[in-house]
Amino acid sequence: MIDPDVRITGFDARAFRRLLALFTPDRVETADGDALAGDDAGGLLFVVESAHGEVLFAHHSRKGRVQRLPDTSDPAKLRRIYGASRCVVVRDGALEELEQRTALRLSPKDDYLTQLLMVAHAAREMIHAGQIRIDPEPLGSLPLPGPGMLARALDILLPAGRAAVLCLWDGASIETAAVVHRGSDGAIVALYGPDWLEASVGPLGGDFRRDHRHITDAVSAALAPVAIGIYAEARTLHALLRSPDPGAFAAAAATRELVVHPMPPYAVVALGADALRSVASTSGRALGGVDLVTALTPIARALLDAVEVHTVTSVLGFNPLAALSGWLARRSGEAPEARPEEIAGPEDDR
Amino acid sequence: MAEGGRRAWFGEGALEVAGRRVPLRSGSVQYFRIARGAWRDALTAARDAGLGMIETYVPWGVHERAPGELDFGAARPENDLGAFLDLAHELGLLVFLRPGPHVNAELTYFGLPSRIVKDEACWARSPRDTPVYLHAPPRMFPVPSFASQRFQEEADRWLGAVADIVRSRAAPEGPVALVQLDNEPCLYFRNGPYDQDYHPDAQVKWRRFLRERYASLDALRSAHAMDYASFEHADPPARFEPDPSRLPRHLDWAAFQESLVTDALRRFATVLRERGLGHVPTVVNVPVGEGGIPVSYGALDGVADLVGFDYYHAAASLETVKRRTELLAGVSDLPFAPELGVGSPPWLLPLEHEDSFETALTALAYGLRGMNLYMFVDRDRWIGAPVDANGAPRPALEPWARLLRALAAVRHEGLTRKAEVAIVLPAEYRRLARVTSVLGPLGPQLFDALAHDPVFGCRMDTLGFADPIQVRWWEDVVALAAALDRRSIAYCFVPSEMPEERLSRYRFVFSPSFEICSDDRWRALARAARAGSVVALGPREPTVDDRGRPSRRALGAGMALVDTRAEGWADELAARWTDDHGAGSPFRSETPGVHVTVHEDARGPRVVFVLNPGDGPVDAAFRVPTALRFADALDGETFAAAERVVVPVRARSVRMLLVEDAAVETADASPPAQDAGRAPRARSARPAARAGKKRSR
Repeated sequence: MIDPDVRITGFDARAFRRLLALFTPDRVETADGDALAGDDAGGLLFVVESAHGEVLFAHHSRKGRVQRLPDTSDPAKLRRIYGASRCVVVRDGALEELEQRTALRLSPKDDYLTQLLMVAHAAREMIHAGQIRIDPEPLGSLPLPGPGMLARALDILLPAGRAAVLCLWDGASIETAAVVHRGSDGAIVALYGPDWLEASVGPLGGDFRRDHRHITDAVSAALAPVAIGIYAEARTLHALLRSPDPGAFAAAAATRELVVHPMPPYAVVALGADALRSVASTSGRALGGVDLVTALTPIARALLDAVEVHTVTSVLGFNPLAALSGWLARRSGEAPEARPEEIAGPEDDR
Repeated sequence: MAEGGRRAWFGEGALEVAGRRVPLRSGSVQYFRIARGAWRDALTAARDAGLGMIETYVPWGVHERAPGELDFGAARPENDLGAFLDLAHELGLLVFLRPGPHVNAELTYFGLPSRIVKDEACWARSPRDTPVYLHAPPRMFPVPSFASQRFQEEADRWLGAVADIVRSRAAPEGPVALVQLDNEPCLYFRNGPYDQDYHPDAQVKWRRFLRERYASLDALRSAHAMDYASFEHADPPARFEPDPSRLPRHLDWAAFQESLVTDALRRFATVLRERGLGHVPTVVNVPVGEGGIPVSYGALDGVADLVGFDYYHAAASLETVKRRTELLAGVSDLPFAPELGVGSPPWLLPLEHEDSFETALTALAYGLRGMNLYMFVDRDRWIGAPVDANGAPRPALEPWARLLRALAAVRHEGLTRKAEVAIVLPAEYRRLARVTSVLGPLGPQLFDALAHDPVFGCRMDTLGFADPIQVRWWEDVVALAAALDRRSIAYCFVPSEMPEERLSRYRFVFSPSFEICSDDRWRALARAARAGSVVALGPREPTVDDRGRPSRRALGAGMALVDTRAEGWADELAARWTDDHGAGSPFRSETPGVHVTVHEDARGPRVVFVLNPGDGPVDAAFRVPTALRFADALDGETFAAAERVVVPVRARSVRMLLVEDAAVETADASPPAQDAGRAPRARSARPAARAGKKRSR
């Protein structure tokens, strides 16, 4: 899925940082003025214990080394006692064991995503064996897809021989951008940044609602036909990715705060499902809890069948965008983490 | 000093080439990653920016087209190393060459050919004989074993092939003036103490190491508290045993891992020397997180002509840059950064211009004399170089060019920063910290890099001693360093395995001291005391050596025990050195948290750096010994004062002030115009040209 010779070019540090910022938790200002991020919002308590439960090492990411830790058998209790947002208790030697288990499965020929999945599977085994205990367990409700599932999901999102464009604006200028090129053999061969995009596209008018067609055409000519292009103000997409509101993406698309061009069938369906969720949420309240989604499911299914679209959710077994937004929202202190059923809903491919 | 005493190649902070002093200021241009048609513009951009030297890796995996078949331009024009070197020579540039075999450079498999990576005979091994994977994108790969005979032979052939290209192009006839041995010496970043290397060839070396160290089986058995039937039965430890009697076994294992790295470097150096590059000086580059890697600085110093540190830091980590450079200055007479990150790889947190620039200034403030800007010209898998891949300047180039001009104008390479104190970093305590790390493959290098604390992941039990030595030694080091900073007393960190005479250079020496003390360290401390240094150690007199043998030592003249368990001990010690011996710089910071460093030549102070690592801007005040006038090297703002200077410094930044003249008239130091009519702020700061001026970098 990722070519060993993948090119990454055309970014300056600021544009790259802005791109990463979309997918990383925001900094949270605490009452005492500390700027914290991610797990540090409540702190991470990390404990290493011996085979007999003796504490060998304990560290709180905000409070430093922890002395005289009580019984480590219950990470949830430790987390509460120390006010941490997460507690990890690792048996001495478990990290080495994890590496050795992983090494038995890995091959240097494997693609990087496949290799990451191997690591994740080994880690989950260690968790199930009680060698590593985490509270709350991150992504605990998510099934781990196999490499084949991941490849099929990628086929839906970005078919082989096509490009995807993400172009984010700050007023009349491009704030950051990314162009992903998937080669004809199915491997991702390049990630290009705004410098490359601007050199390939030439002068722009300064309004993404008009410029998007020109960008799509230019990338198609320079690289490969564009499968999907996403254009918006950077702050708009930043907020959408963290929004717990059903229908936020659909509403943004409807008001052209978000332009998706070209819009592949899965995006049509995803935005439609998003709108559907919005309607259900609103009408559910208005109708005293009548479940419109259930009522409309046959219609949605018919729509899906009609356009012959397999959703990423159905391939992976969970909705990656919902998982991401739940994670970002919770880490950024904007909303509670999405419920597992919201992430894993079979038709919930927003 | 490298074997053969080749340090004559360096003098007064610079490289000497054919009688010419060349400052070690270079920029990275990777010929194999930019279009051949852009080479000239890229090199010209480097020269125009004030660099006299460029640097490039020579990646084995890029040049090898098939097993044993190397392409140096016949198949791919960009691979023509010889032509690139010739062009650099034509443009008057020297070249700092880095042929690996490991280069990283964000290349797949760190630049190793895939056949090497896939060859099981080359793989480093875990205690369970599994390969040891490095999780680096875009492909995780099993790291090679430094002990593997197969890997060594393959690497020898590669280095020999490079030498054949370079030999006729070595300085002074050609441009190649400096060669790096391998890259970032450690165990391929899998530096957990029991991560590797249990390769069969490594186990042979382990037993040879023990034989050389102990000579007799009885001595080995006694030290390891193991009933080995023979040296051949002395298996390496697979994990830490918290049994005090077994500590020497684990300390030996840590020392052995250091020797694996050093022996490999020595072999690389030998190949280059035997293939005709013996007259080109060599360098090694220590990676970030040096507190957690298996290196002996003394051994590195013996293998290469120059030991340098790589720098990749955010502006929020200036204190770390300071600490690392204070160590580098204690290791090397010519502190050099073979990689000073200008930008960063895409898979690390991006470093913006301010991060790289303030890192450079901080390192310069603490004694860095040479640096290679990595990357200077952009390339694939890099973000933030000041020149694009076509050789066109980006906005970030101008501040770098200004800094390079300022360094050249003041002949910065020839200046010195006088450190009065050596804080000893005992090798046996560093090894103890490594083997007691409970974070396995995650540490301790990673956590030294992230948390700036080489003892971060250590277990906390006392292992039969009065204190958890593996942690306490570092706490004492940190406490004294902070106390010295508060009194503006300049210091360096000196690893105990450096040549014995090194400590004698310093007026004051402190060494953490607990029950364990190696013979070498004790000898070096005693020698420094005999040479006139004031030596303090504590909190305990040692009772055993690093082989577990009882070893009581008496404190000699000039040596004193300090109880580092007492509150305020470090401040008391610093005060004693100041009050009794006159320690401390006349350029003394009066603003808490602000550091001031001074760089001098025979005429006196030439450059003063003012460092504000804090989160907010400050008006930094510091004392000067006489009336002086300063000009900011980068924005030209001037200051003058008789005794006390106040300099505004932005958050997380450094100002480099050039001392314009030795002294100015007292009248020049009178209060500024806006102070007229007030009670004179006698001897206070006078920003001479501040009005309306913005700092432009």
